[in-house]
Amino acid sequence: MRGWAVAGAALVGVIGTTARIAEAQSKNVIERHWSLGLQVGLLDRPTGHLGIPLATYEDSKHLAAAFVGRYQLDQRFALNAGFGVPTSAMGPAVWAGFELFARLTTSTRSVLAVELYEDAGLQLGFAGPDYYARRDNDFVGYGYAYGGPLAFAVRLPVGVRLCWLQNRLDTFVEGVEVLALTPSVESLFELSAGIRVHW
Amino acid sequence: MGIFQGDLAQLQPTPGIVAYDVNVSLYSDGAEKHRFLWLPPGTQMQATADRWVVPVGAYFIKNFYYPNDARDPSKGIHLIETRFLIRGQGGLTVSTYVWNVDQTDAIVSGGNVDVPVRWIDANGILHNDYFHVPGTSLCESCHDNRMLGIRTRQIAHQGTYPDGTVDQISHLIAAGVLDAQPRQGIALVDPFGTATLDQRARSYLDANCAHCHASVGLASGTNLYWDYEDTDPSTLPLCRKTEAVAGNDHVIVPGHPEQSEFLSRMLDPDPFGRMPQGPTHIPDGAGIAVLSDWVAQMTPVGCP
Repeated sequence: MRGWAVAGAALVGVIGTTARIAEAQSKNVIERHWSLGLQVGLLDRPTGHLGIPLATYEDSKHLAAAFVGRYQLDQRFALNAGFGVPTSAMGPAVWAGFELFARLTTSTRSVLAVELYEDAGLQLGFAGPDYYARRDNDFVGYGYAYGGPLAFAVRLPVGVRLCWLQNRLDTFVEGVEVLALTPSVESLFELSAGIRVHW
Repeated sequence: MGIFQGDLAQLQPTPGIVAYDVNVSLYSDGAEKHRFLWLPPGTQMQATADRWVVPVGAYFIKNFYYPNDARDPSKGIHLIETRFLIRGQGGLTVSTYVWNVDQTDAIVSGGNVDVPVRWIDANGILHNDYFHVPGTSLCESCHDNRMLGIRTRQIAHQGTYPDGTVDQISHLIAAGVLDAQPRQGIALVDPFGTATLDQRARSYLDANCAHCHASVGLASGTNLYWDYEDTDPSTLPLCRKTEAVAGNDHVIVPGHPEQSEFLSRMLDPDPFGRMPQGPTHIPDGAGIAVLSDWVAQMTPVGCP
């Protein structure tokens, strides 16, 4: 846990410093505060069985999928929220985070900008049937995708975002460390990609 | 609970509660079961087809337990769970009671509870494990508003009963809970008994797989049916291609159990893929042995 805290603090420091430098360079960026979009999982550890199935058989690989929204407060901070399957190994959840981001570079006329961010937050959802598969090696049924014990978790997404067409939309890839605190302490990881439309 | 009288742990049913048994029990991590039923006064089950019609208000009660020592019945049993399936107007509902450590009472539970268990099997092997009491949502998904064991094929067997009857169906008729003898029907056999290997394997598949893998069932879309009727040689999934498990991608490879996907699936470490699908984590070694022998004695053909 101490290692995570140190790494998190270092990351916040790097992004914060970069953000201050970038802030001065980005006064010409068109402000679009709101954005909404979708994200899908690319890689789960551990893997699970909720989300979008890639084949018809029951133990096929699944992709986590979620709706995501963002409100940009200023040139450094934003609020994020999501609803959906956070990783294929957990049940549906809602989450929210406070984002610190930095614009690393912007192309001519802001056609493309690159941002680095972290988005520490909290998550609440169903533990899901995979929780029992991991814990007991039992299949307890898909009823636990929308019922059963709740999983309260701390999230630490870290990602890279490409903002396109003068910030009209963005695409992102992020790694999310999910530290579930209930029903038992567990560490899960999700690599996701997504797209959002800004206005 | 009102189902048993006197010392609850003695499981003496109250008047009107009728004990029954099935030919082939659904595998439940080796747990054994007592079964009872109760019908509202003036009602009967109707044996108009293989799957009997059950009146509204009927209760089906099942006790799950392990013998403390399967070699010595005098050492008693460890009761784990008592499960009720109730036929209501809208279908089946399930409720579950989990027995306390002292074995003096069973407390209502939503299920999804792991109960530590310790037993000695018939071979003298000590097991320290747990029994997973399923959540009621899983019970309802498998049962799909049907009683799995209330069928001619499961109830029709010989026995000696205190009322003088010599088979279970006659006994249930004498007890007033069944309207008449079924006109026709098959009877599953004990998979570990003395019937032919083919009958034993088919009976195991029917009882453990066909509640989903049938033309009416959760797995009807797979077109892979394990009903006793659907497993005649002409419809067996011999050499049928399927999703690979442990590198095996034909459901049955005649003569080669080690290459047959359905047997690999019974040993799949992923509980989402393992069959029979349910809250079990201990592979059914005895069942797998019967099915392996069944496949092994099939005439080998090369699967393309």
